[in-house]
Amino acid sequence: MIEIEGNIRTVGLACGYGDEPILSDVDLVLPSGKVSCILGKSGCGKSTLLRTLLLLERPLAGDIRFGDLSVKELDADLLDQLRRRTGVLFQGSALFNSMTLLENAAFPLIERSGLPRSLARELALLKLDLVGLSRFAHFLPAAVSGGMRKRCGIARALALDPPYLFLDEPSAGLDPFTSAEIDGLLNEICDALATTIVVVTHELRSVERIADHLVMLADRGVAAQGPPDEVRGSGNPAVSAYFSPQRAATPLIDPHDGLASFLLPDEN
Amino acid sequence: MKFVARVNPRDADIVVLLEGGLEHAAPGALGQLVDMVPGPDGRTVIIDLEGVARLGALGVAMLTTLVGGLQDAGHEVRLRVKSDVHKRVIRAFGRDVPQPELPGPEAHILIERLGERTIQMHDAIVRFVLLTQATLASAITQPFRLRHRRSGLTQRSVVAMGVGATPLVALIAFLIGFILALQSGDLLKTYGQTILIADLVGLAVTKEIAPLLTAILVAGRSGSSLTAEIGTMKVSEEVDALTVMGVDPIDYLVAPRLRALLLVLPMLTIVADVVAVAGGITVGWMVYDIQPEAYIEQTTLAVELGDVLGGLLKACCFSIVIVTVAAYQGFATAGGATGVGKHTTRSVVQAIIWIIIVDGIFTALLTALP
Ligand SMILES: Nc1ncnc2c1ncn2[C@@H]1O[C@H](COP(=O)(O)OP(=O)(O)OP(=O)(O)O)[C@@H](O)[C@H]1O
Ligand SMILES: [Mg+2]
Repeated sequence: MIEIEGNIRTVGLACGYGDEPILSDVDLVLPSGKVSCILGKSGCGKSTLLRTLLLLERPLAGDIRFGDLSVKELDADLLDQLRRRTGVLFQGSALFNSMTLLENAAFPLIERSGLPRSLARELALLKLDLVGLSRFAHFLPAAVSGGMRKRCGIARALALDPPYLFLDEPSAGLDPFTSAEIDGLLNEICDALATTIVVVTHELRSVERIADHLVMLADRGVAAQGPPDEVRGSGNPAVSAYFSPQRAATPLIDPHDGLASFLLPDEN
Repeated sequence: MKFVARVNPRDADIVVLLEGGLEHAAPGALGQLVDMVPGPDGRTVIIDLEGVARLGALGVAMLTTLVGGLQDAGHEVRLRVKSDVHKRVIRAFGRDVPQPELPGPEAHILIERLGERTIQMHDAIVRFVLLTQATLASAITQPFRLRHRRSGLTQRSVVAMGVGATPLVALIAFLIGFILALQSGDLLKTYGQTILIADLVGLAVTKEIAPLLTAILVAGRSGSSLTAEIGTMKVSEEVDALTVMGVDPIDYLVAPRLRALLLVLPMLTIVADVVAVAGGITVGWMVYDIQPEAYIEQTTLAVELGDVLGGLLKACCFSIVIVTVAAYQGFATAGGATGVGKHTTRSVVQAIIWIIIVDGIFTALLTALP
């Protein structure tokens, strides 16, 4: 039997929705037991890459490997094992709207673990407590805030203590304090359970706190990857533009008249 | 804030003095203003923004329109701007904004389109067949595989689909039995054979009308709601969430509904059978003086068990049609809330069409049998 553990690697991967790839020639190594952050401008294809890694979208070319297992040799049984080992937070949380937060967090346990229902719910409550939601366990997703739905999504992703964890913008919409707590939680999980964590994020502070490995996407491909210091010191224009953006053309509000205006170099 | 424009035509230059909020100008005011300016007679038109308190992107756009209109009329136009803020705003917004590229007109030739459609249709049929196959397999094996884990959902669906639809089905069935009896009675009276109303109503209802009508009502009620539910889950990535958790969406969302409907639709059909006959009895008794006992006896003579069972078998087939069409449309949903609405409508229309097609095939086969 093939053991599904180890680095996630992609070889010549191309991903997209039609025939036209959004990202191509993606050669990644996402180290096992570490936190990898995927960065890039809005719309550059981070979520698309994640969906392809999750096998929700068919790769347009190339291969993905989980440890020794190539997705090309996946049969139904192996795919099921792989699913059992992955936890996912979608960008829009994707909670089940007809279930309470607790039922959402308990869902993977009930469906996949074979534990009795009461025990599954107890475990789920524990996970909800980790993300600070135990007080809201019986609320429906529609009745809590966007940030709370995100956190419940994280609890659901963590339910089975998966060896692979994929999070699409976990700290978007969270205040600095809660965001820091979630980052701390991710670091703990990574250390304690040697979980391979892949995070798409825009929060540079969060990147500083959690990233062991950075992947910078730009221009329909990977612009840079490696340990954070290396990537930031690489002098790659896409990286410098991301970490210290030029503000020349940013609209400013004039303090005197409240008008939006642009600071442009004067012509005369 | 009001917008005022003053034109002073007697100076060396024609000065257009704008005051107030340019963006508050009434629709058409700019055109009128262009007409008010005399000439063109070689003099320069100067637009003075001195009195304009506030200039934003909209104001600049209005100004651009005004200048363009004057230039089109043949004037030489200049702006007089003193305020630095106004200058900055005009410079910022007065540029040509890059236009997004619109997809060009489709240059497909007819044959190409036809080919595309054929491939699409082929794909759709393949997907539909696969879905039907998976749904049936899943629905049949579910009780053995999951040890009643999904039975809660099945039970709830039975209640939602069955109990909710019963009054509606009963009402419609009664009316159909009633109408059918009146229509046929009118004809049979001329032959003095009004008792045959019972035969006609009984046979038509059990073999044809009750299964068909019930299926169409249920497609409208429950098929649409299944499509809307799956479609909404699809667009909010909940279906993807199920998939990555290793929970088969067909097994979780569709199969329990099919098992419920396989029970509910035949039961509703029986209700429709009985109530429609009651409608016939009512007409027979009230209009044609047929005693209910006699009517019922005539019905039992005319309608055989095989006719009723044939109708129930049809109902089972219709359940499969309703659920698979609804699920297919649900999973095909894309494009947000609009997509959900579109596919829900399609689900009902297609289910009804397929129900009638399947009914036709069924009836042809049954009548062809000895
Ligand atoms: N379902 C879809 N069908 C077709 N194209 C899509 C679809 N989803 C996204 N795209 C396209 O793919 C590109 C990348 O989208 P993606 O969602 O991966 O961006 P992202 O990097 O995650 O952005 P953000 O940071 O805003 O979430 C976009 O240009 C978008 O137009
Ligand atoms: Mg995204």
